[in-house]
Formats: sequence, structure tokens, C-alpha cells
Amino acid sequence: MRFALPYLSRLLGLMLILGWAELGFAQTLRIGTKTLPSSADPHYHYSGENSSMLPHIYDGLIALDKELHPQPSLATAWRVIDENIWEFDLRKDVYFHDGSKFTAEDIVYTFNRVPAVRNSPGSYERLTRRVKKIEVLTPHRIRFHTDGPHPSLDHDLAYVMILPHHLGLDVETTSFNAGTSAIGTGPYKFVEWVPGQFFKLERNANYWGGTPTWTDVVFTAITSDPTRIAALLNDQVDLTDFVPLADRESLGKNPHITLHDNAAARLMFIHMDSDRDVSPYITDIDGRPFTKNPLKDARVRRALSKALDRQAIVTYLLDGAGIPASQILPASFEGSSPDLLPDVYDVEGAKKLLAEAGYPNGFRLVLHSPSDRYPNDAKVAQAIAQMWWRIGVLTEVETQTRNIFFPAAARQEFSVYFSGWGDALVANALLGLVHTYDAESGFGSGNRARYSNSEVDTLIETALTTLDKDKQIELLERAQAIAFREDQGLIPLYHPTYSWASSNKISYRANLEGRTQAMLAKPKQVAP
Amino acid sequence: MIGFLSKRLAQSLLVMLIMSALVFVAVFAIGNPVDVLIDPRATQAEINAAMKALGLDQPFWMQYKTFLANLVKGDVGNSWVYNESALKIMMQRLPATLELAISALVIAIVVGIPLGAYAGLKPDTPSARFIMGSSILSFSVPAFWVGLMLIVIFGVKLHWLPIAGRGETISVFGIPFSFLTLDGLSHLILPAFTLSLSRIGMVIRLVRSGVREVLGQDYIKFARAKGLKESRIVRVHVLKNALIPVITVMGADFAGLLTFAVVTETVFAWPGMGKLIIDSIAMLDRPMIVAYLMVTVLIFILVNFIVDVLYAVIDPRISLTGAKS
Repeated sequence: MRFALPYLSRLLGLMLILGWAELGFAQTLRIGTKTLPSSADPHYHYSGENSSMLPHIYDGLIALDKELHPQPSLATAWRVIDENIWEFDLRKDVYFHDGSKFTAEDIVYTFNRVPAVRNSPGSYERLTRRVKKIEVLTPHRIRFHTDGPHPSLDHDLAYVMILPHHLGLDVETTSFNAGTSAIGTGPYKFVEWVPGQFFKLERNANYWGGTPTWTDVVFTAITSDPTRIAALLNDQVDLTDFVPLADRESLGKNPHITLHDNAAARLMFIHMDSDRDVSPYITDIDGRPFTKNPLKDARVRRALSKALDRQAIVTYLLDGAGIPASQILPASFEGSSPDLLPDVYDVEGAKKLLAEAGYPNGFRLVLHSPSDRYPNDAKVAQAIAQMWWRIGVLTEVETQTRNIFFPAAARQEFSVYFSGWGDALVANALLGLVHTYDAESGFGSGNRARYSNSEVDTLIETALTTLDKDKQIELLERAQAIAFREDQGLIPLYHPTYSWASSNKISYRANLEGRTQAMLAKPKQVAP
Repeated sequence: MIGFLSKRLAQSLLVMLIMSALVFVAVFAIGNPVDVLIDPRATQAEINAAMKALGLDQPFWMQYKTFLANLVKGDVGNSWVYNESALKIMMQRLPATLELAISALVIAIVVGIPLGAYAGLKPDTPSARFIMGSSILSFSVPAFWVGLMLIVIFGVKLHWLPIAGRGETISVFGIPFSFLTLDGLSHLILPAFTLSLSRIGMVIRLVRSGVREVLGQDYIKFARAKGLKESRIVRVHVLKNALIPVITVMGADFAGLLTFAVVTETVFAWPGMGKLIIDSIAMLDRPMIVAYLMVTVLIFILVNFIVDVLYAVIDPRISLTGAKS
């Protein structure tokens, strides 16, 4: 066969020149993925896996581009009429996979169905709840009435996938999983899904956004990292996600493989219990419990941050797949402060701060970390502990699998823990991570360290209702400066980089949310 | 026979009851499954709503009571992750594991018995020594390592065989099987061989020691004295008796193959039950874990029952009723 290859590639090149590829040259994309979705029902479980897979089948009113800015999708244009009213023009001549026409009625139906889905372990209601009323002006123009100013409505709508209204409100999740009701307007159609095994899709030739690139798409679940990479090297799959850090170097050198890196909208951070006087895992240097928790002192928290060599962690433990962090998102993103730079590694400065706070001899603490949630999470926790030892904070590390770690963190069983937070919107992330915890309103839902500063709270709350972008950004920058520098309410550590690997015949354009989608993959033009 | 059956059934029901209670206590002790399942950005109200949806807002004993009540109706519950019947998902995965385990067992027997018999009949030859040495190696090397090595050699370096998934399947009575297509068969080879490797060594050693023991028995000497042909002695008298311990061990082990093929399934992305239970434990998907253990216990009991019957067939001294011994 080997002798035929040059001729074959020349023939291929010729075909490309003649534009055969444009005519729908049969191409299958095989993706080896770490995780598959838990449902084909777009309103069942709001999770990363589902938000990654289901947009193949369903569209939202809005789509997010690579930098996560809202772009037209089923809505062609939108405008804010008054602070509580948004008007959307709907795309005309769009058809669902079963041939029914898309109109405003489907939007109303979708918003009614979201809260009606049964047994949801994580509802999409959080994205629709702020909409109090949908006013249908014409079949292709609607108005959303919100319960107050809600500047991120457009962003939220990107996750609400639209279903045809004829499915009815009592349609069951199982009927989506079987494919019967898995009907959207998206670029690919549901073919077959076996949970945890594969997900098969085929091209929607009538897609409103032009003919999709691939005729067929097959996602195969390969949980084991080395196997996933081996399947790529063995040409069993064309594209894989979650490239293990250990394999980056050898894959980078492989001429048949291309690595695709992209910064992630995720912050890896350390939360410190600054609320309780007696925290379970903090003792003095002799192992006796404190009556006053040293982490309540901002200087101690600053010292812990200054003692960390972020660049070393990124370079040596993540093999360069990350960037040191000082705030929720990297400095170039909307709502990030360009003046807030990552803390400089400064052992002497940290020791001085500890001495000023009255702990010249340091103290002891236990750092908790998940061991199977983030790339090299347990190793990073070990490195953090070693760096803290250098300033006299004798740190032990305890790692747990995610199914034990997260429930325990929610019960506030830890004093100091290392974890991550993924959010593309700075305001939402701040609300979850550093706003004062309030069970009723749901503010501070991820603030398991119970950091609290009323000034930060006010800044976040105001930002969340400020429709003026520039003003909102100003507020967010100020909130971050206080929470992450002056108060050191939490310690931002790094933003991880997500990696995909593919055969060199494919180009992949990743986005900030780390989605693995056929829409983001394109065949590379083969040189004749 | 009926007495034997009903006693077995009662025993297994009790075991299942205890297992389910243990799973409930274990998941309850670890923590709130909703904290694992839900998006970390969820508010307390959303967490509460999800807990209510899954019945986790009820007190512990009430949850167990509801579970038992549903169980009587034949309903193990819906998976929290998939919102589908846990038993149904389990049954989707069972054929893959069954296929893998049976293939491994067949390989172990086909390869192990002749080699073991040879090593037993001609113990002092160099090849017998080589067989015995290799058999020790075969069950000393860990399965995940063997699996990864096979992947590197046959997948990444030689590109001979696929290394992940089941490949093309053909449905027989609605159940998909890989071994009926060439593509599926090529997918099956590496995982089945990996899983069988340690069993090959075990079969070799069992058959060898069985053969050695039987060869010294009086009835073999008598058969020889009678002037029977050596091949007949080996086939009818030696092997038949040497196989009894093999059946016991492989029988008990087959249930183990089925349920603990976890490592092999994970390494080769073989979509069986083992991989499912690992995923389910990671998500604290209690109905799924319970369903898995139920099916596991059932398989163990069923296989042991079959072994007992086989036993009686091969060895006339054993009777199932056990009353007159």
C-alpha cells in the first residue's frame, strides 16, 4: 500500500482543488472523550458534560464565541428596551430536525418546560428563573420581562436549549435518551446513545448555519487517560480531550499529532476559614488548638499567598499548562483588573507579615485537596504545603476523592482547602466564591470558607444589576482588588490550560469553557 | 433438589438485603450525593430542590423503607445520574462484561488445560519447567500493567489491533455482541487475553497438580495393569479426575471475572459493568450501586449453583441434597 500513498494524497489534493470537499465529501469525525453526557434531555441536568454535548443537537437563542461574548444564534438581534425588558428578533426559516418550524411558541414552551422537568439533580431553572414573563409580539419577535435588571441575561440564554413546543410539557427525560424526543435545530442530529459508551450523531443537512463539516460524528467514552491517548496514536479516534499533563511533551514531538491548547475560564484557588474562632485543622506550633483562628487576620492570609511560587507550580507541576492567577479570569478578560498582578513569590515578606500578625514561629494546619478532580491536583497541594513550610506554617496535606471531598467541603469540615471554580462571568464567580454566605438568597454558595466583607458584597450586588458595561467592569475590578489583594479573602493560584490532541489532519478551535465539540473541529487542507 | 434450591434462594435474598442496607449506610456516611452531582455554583435552594427530587430530604430510615417497598414491586429505582431505571442500565452493560469474561474463561481453559496436562505428565522435561515458570509470571504481573503493555505493543507500535471500546456489534435477540463481527472480535482480543492471563496460570497449576496426584492413585496403576492404552488412561481416568478442582476454582472465579473485570474494562474502555460501577461510585449514584450489587450477588449465587450441579455430574460421590452423607 505504501507506494500508493503519494498518488493518493495527490488525488486528494486535486479533489480539494476541485472543491469536492465542499460538496459533502463523506467524512466521519471520531472523538475519544473522557466523559459523556448524563442525558440527551437538554433541561435535565445542568453540568459541564451536558453543556458540551447537547449543543450539537439543540441551539439556544444566543451562542457564545471563543471569548464567550454573546453572538446571534436562533436570535438574530436583541436590544434592551428598558432595564427590565429585553427584545429579541428570532431567526426566520429555521426548522427542527423533524421538519417543524421554529417560532416564538417554542421559546415560551422551553421556558415553561425547564421548571417542569422531574428528578433533576441540577436544574436549568437558575438560567430561566429571572425571566418573569415572555411577551410574544410576532411569531419572530419576543420580549423577556425580568424580575429586575439582569445584565447577564444574554449570557444565560446561551445555555437554554430550545425544544419544539409539540413535545408537550409531560415529555419524559427517557424519551430524549431513546432519541424519540431528541429534536432540536442544531447542526447534528441524534442517532444513538449508550450511556458511558458512545454518542453517535449525523449531519443536519438543513442546518440554518450552513452545511455542517462532518457527515457523522462518533463520541466514544475512554475514561482512562493513557488509553485515550493510545487510541489517538492507534488512529482509532481523530481527536481526544483532556490530554494528560504527562503526555504533552511526547505528543508535542509526534509529527502525526497536533496539540491544541487553550486557557480555561477556571480559577484554581485556596479557600481559608476566616470565620470560625476555632477551626478544626489549625493548631499552634506544638499542636494545641488556638482560641483565636490566625486566618482571621488578613496579614496571615496575605503571608500565605506571598509564600507561593505560582510560576514554579505552573512550570514544574503542570508542565506549563497554566498561567499564574490573581483574580477570577486572566487579565485580558472583561471584568478583570489589568492592575491586579499575581503575587510575587516573597518568602521574607511573608515571614515579616506573619511576625507582624503575632505568629513569628508560625503554626500548623492541614490543607485538604481533591485527588481526582483537577489535573495533578494532589501534587499541587503537596507543593503548596512545601512552600508554606518555608515560612514556618507547618502544613500537612490530606487528599480525598471527589465524592468524599466535595460533600465534606460543603459541610465546612475543612480549615484550608485547594479547589477550582469554573465561570465565564466574573460577577457570577464573585457572587459564588467571595460574597457573604446566605443560604436563603443563594449568595456565596461556593464560599465554604465563609469570607465576608460588606463592601465587597455591595460591589458585587451592584455590579449584578448594572446594565452599563463600563460601570459594571469598574465595580468588578474594585471588588476583586479588595477580595483578592487587600483582604486576601481567597488565594488565586492559577488558571489551568485545557488541551486537546488530534491527528494532524484536523484543526481544533477550543473555547474558554473547554468544550469538546465537532463544530470546533475542521479538516485541515491537505497539501497536494 | 427443590429443597436445595429454596434454601439457596432464601440465603441469597438475605445476602441481598444485607448488601442493600450496607450500601445505604455507606453512601449516607460519605455525605450528600447532591454535592457531587450538582453544579458547584448552585444555590442552597437549588440544592434543596435537587435533594427533594431524589428523595434525599427524607430521614435515612424512610429512604430505606421506600427503597424496600419499591423493591418488593420489582423496582430498584432510577439512577440519579441518568434518570433511567438503574436495572435497565445495568442490563445494557451486562452483555459486554459477560462476553469479556466468557472469552477470558475460554482462553484460560483452551490454553491452560493442555499445557497443565503436559506439565503434569512430563514434569521433568525442560518445556514443562518453562511452562511452570511462565505460569508463575502470568499471575504475578498486575493486569493493568499487562493491559497497558499490550496497548503499547499491539496498538501504538504495531497498529495491529484496536485498543478501546467494543467495536462493531451484532444484536442477537436484542443483545449486542462483539464476537460475531470481525471488527468486534479484533476489539475483544486484547482485553480478553489480559483478563485471562492470570487465569491461564491458575489453570495450568491446578491441572498439573491434579494430574500429578491422580497419576499416583491405585486406579491408574490398575488401569495400566489392565493394559489400557495410555491415551485412554490420560483422557478418561487422569484428566476427568484432575478437572474436578479446576471446575470448583474456575466456577468460583468466573463470578469474580464477571464482577471484578473492573481494571481490564477501565484500561481498554470496555463498556461493561465494572466500568459502570466505578463511574457510579465516583458520583455516589446510590440506586446504581445498589443495582450493581444486587446483580452481582445474583450472579455469584447462580454460578455457584451451576458449579454444584456440574460437580455432581462429574463426581458421582457428591449428591446435591447432602442429606445422606
